[in-house]
Amino acid sequence: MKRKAHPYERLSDEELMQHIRERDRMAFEVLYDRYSRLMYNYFFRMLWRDKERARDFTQDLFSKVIHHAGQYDATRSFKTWIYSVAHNMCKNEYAKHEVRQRAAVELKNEESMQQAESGKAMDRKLFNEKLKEALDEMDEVKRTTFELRFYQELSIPEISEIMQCSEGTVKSRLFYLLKDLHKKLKMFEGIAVWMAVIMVSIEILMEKLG
Amino acid sequence: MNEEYKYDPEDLESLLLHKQFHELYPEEKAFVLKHMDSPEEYESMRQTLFELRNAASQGDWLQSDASIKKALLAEFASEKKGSFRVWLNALFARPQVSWYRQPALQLAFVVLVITTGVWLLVSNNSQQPSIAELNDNTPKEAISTASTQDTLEIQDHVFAENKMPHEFPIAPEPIQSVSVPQITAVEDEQHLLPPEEIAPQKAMAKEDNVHLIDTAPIVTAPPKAAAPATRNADKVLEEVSVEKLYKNETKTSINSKPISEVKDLLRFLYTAQ
Repeated sequence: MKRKAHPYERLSDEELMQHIRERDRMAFEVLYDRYSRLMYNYFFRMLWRDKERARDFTQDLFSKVIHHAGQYDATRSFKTWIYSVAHNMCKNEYAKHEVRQRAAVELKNEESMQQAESGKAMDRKLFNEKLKEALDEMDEVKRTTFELRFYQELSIPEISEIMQCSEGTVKSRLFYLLKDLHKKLKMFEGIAVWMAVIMVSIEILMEKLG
Repeated sequence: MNEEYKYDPEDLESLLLHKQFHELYPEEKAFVLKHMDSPEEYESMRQTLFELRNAASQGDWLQSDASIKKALLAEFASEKKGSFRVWLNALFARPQVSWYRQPALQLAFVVLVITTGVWLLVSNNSQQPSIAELNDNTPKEAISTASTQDTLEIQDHVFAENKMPHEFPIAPEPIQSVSVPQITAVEDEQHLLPPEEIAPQKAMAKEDNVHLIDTAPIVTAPPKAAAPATRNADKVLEEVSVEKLYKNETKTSINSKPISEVKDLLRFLYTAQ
C-alpha cells in the first residue's frame, strides 16, 4: 500500500525553510529527505571518495541548515544556497588538505584491485574508473563544474550562482572540460576495444579447444 | 520554431547534445569549427558527452546513513526555539549585496557620522563663550601708575568717612585714567603750560596743521592741600588732563569709564573735602 504523502512534501524548498525557521521538525525531515542523498554523494565524489568524510560533511551541512535557517534569504533558491554552502565547505577542505593528489592516488590503487567483471559490464566499469581517474587529475574548479553539471544536473545559471562566476564562464569551462575528458577517454576507448577483441578471441579459442 | 534551435552561441554543450554536425546551421557550423578541428571531432565529442551523462546517471549513488538523520533530528530538538543570534556573516559577508550595502559598513558609517556630529557640537559650544567674552585686556600695569598711590589714598580716605552707596563699593576699581573724547585745542590750554614750552608746542601744531587730541587717560588729580573744596571739578579735570598730556605721563592706558561718571566722582570727592 502506498504511503500517504505528508502535506509538507508538496511544499517548495523555500516554504519548508520558512517552517524550519519556526522550528518545525517535520519540515526539516522532509527537506533532509530531499537533499541528503544528493549532498552525501556530492561530498563523496568531491572529497576523494571518502565515505566517512562525506558522512561528516553531510551532517555538518544539515547542522548549518538547522542553525542558520534565520540567515537564509527566502528570495533566493534554496537549491543554489545549499550547494553554495557545500561548495564552500569543499573549498575549505581542499585548502586544509593539500595532499589531495596523494590521497586520490592511494584510493585509486585500492579500488582498481577490486574490479573483476567481463563483457559490457567491464567496459562500463573500466570507463567509470577511467573517468574517475581523469576527474581526480583535474583541478577543483573543473571537478566541481563537472559534478554540478553531470551528477547533480544543475542548470548553467544555478552553477554560475553557486560558483560565483558568469554563465559564459561556466559554459566555457564545460566545453574545455569536455574536450579534456574526450582526449583522455578516447585513449581508453582504444584499450577497451583491444581488450574486448582479446576476450572474444580467448572465448573462441577455449571453445575450439574444448 | 522549437526551443532546442535557440542556442546560445557560446553553448557548445547544447549544440553537442541536440544536434549532429550535419544538422547544424551554417553559422553554427562555423562557430563549432572555430573550437574543433573537424566534423569528426564534433561527432566524437558528442559521443563522449553522452557517455559521460550515462556514466553520471548510472553511477554508484550511495545511500546516506540513517544515523545522520537521527543525530540531526536530536540536534534540531535541542535547538532552542526563537533563540536570538547575530550571525557575523549577515553583518560582513552578504554575497548578493554591494559592498556599500554591507550592514557592518553602514553601521560604521552611522557611528562615524554621530561621533563627528557630537564632536563638532561640543567643540562649538566650548568656543562660543570665548567669542562673546569681554576681553579684559586692561593692562594691570597701567593701573599701577605713579598716580595709583594718590588715588587710592583719596578713595580710602573719602570712603572711610562717607558711607558710600552700593554703586561705589568699599574697594572699588581704582579709577586712574579715563578717555577724554573731547578735542582740546592746544591754544586753549596754553595758560596751563610753562611759558618756555608754549612756543615749541605752538610751532609744532602749526607745522602739522592739526589740533592735539587728548585720547590719553586722565589721571585723577592728587589731593592738593591748597585746593579749595569748592573748586570746580570740571576745571580740575581739564587741568589734570592737559598737564599730564604735556608731561607725557598719560600715554599709559585707556579707561572705559565714561567721563560723566568720572566727573561725578570728582565732584563728590571735592564736596566731601
